[in-house]
Amino acid sequence: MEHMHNDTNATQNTGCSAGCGCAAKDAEKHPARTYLPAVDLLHSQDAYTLVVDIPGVPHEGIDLQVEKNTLTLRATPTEGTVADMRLAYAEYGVGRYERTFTLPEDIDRDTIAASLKNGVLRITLSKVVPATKRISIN
Amino acid sequence: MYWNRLAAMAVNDTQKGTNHLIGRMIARQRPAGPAFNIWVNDEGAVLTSEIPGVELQDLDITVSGKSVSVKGIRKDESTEKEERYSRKERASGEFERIFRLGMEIDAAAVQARLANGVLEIRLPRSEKDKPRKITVTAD
Repeated sequence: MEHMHNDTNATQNTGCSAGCGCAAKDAEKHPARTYLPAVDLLHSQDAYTLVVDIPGVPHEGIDLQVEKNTLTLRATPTEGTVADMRLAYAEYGVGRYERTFTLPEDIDRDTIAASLKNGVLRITLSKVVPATKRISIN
Repeated sequence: MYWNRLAAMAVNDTQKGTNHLIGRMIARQRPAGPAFNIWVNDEGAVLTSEIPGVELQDLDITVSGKSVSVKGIRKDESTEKEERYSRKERASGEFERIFRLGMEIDAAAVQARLANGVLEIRLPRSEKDKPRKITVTAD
């Protein structure tokens, strides 16, 4: 059962798949493309973990926001070009990453934490312990 | 015009290890392994690749003559705790990519750098392979 709805339609991947030949042109002429980053979703007893590939993005390039039940990630990489060289062959383009996620009800929105290592962003979403309330019957 | 392009000399990508990778890389018929870009000028070439999650110690770069081989392993995330996958889009496993460039590489001067999951390999052209200007003298 997948609790977390992954809102793929919200962000369209405007980049072509690599290898189609236009990636070369993209990287040189259209550095402002937006890509949909690859994501793994893991779950355990008490938390969900989102693992997102955002190669080329430094700490300061990450913008992570929660609004109501929507988590939005926007990430801007450093420039992907090499100075004084021409791109002779390309399999990937460099551009911004963007993806939104719809969070399930049982997430504690105040304790969402994220860490970046080697171009991989890990977002930890803790589950709230459901508060039981006993209703007395008169 | 055509012979002035270095693009033609840059690539001859031989693949290995197709069966090691799972996920979108194969689904989209991409090469078996991470994507690479190749940059060139008269002084040499630079290979860049997006390899998020690959540790420095899991990379093995070999340069010989005109060939560059990049081997590596991207480990699964789910090795710790009692975590289970609900969704998996990120490819993992071993990969090897071999590129044959159109120039001799000075293997001793090769430099590689890994930053934020992006690999950059600087491959200076060997001195004897560099183009030489020939002066034409009149009679």
